[in-house]
Amino acid sequence: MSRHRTVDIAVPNMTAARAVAIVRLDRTDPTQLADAGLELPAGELDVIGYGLLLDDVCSEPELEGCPPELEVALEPFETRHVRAVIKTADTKKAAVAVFGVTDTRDGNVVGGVSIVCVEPEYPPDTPAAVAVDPSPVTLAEDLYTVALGDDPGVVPDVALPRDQRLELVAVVTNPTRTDLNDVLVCLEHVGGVPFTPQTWHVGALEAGGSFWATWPLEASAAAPGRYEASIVVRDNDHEPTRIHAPFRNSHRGDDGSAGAAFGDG
Amino acid sequence: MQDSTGVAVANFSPSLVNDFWAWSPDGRLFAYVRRDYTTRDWSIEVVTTATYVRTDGRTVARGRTVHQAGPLVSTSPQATAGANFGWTPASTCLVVAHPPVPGQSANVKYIDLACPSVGMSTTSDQCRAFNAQILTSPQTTGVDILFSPCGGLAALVPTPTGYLQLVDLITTAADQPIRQDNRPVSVTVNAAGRTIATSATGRRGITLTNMSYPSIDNPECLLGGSVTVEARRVFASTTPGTSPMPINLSPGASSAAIWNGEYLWVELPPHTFTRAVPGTSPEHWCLLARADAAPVDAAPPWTQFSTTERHFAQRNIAIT
Repeated sequence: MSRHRTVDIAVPNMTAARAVAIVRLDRTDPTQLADAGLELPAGELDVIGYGLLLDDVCSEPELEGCPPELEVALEPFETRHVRAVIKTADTKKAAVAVFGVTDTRDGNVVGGVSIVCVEPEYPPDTPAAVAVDPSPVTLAEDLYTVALGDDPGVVPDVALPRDQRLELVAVVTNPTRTDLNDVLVCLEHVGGVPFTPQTWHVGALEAGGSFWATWPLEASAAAPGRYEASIVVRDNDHEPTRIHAPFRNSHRGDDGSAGAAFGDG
Repeated sequence: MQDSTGVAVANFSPSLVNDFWAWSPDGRLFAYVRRDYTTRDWSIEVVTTATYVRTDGRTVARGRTVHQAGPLVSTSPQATAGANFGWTPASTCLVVAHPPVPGQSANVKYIDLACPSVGMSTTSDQCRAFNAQILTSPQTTGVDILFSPCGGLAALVPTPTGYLQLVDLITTAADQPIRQDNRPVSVTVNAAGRTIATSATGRRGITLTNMSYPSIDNPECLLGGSVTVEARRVFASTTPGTSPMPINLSPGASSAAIWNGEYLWVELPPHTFTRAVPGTSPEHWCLLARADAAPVDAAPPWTQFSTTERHFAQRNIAIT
């Protein structure tokens, strides 16, 4: 069993003169990507073959007849597309193969693209979600909103009007039996609902202690519906840890009714 | 009178006046009180003796008047000097106790907390002042005004009983809501011998005794700014800088708290990375990211994108 990996790459000519681009696909050393910040496996992927196609001429690309180098003639301001096809053997082991596409014009390399073939599919999970020693700080209840400046500890009985300025409330707590120090809470995003970014330097959070973290929210700027917020917590003895929490953006009258309480799901 | 660089900071008059002055401990501000026994009024002025950058980012040139009060008529022999006139150790506030004006109740005292770092507006050099009105009665003998170690807060502590009040001296020159665990609370002093002390930053960082709560949040440094990471999508080509597609396709932005010298993965809001024209447009795109912590460490604008500039980064993706 094998797997074809394809990447389409634009080869533009942004000048008013005709140009010829020599586009070449070569396998390169993965260590060249050491500074790229990618967490790649150490194993080497078995590459069966590779080549380039011009203008996407093959809908079911086969490697036979696909050269590693193409001469691409470009009219003024023309862009043509080159498809890089790499055929690798199926494997269950974590492995990587790295290729480089170079664009050479008049003897000079003017650009290129790196292609990284990875097994298993990269990234297998959101890297930020993986903490080896996660902070135990967690949410005590679902997210909800209050009117800006109101007591964040009192959940409104009814949904607030659309023009009401709101604060998102996250009740963070220390569920352990030991005190946590230098606790920090940051709202990373609310799934696309605009908010005011700010970081709570909570400090000490004793066993069982809670803190009502708030962030001004422009809820009316986003469509009503269900969103997922990302909150990052950390403390002095643990790694930053991401908490995903659902958030329902609804206002009084959104569904034709008087509305339901925030934070209901 | 001139400062060491020759800038005039105050004009003295040789007539029947008393002059009192006080340099801020950091030497950047000079407060001057003039009491005129002919007109029986007093006035006060605060000037900068060095370039001063306020919390709102406005730079006030040296020699500029940032606070002015009076002339106010007062027949009181009480002088605006000594205990009635001085700076906080952190230079964040000038404290001025007014001499009483004619007709003023003997049970009322006025105290101004002038905060040079809090501007009246971003277009004015003038700063805001918090005006404390202190009522005394047989039950309340007064209010002690205490300052936090960093100088960002004033605590108005009634004696012997009453409501505790906090004043922000750095950003608003106004009442600072008192909170515990970020929930508003009302704190009463309920016995003599009360104390208030800063024990830590953040949650419950102010310790109280003989008051209705044993501790309240320390608002100084409790809430800070974030690093903002913004990612955009650009159609990738073999020639950098010649993208035939606009780069303002914005997958989103994220905020994060990243310490100096550290790094952190950040998660962007969910975004569907579709091909611009399904079936025909290219699959290969670049993600361009820009991160900054404005205003302290602001990134150049997107139009100056460069992979060699430390605020920018580029990674490539294929959309199939």
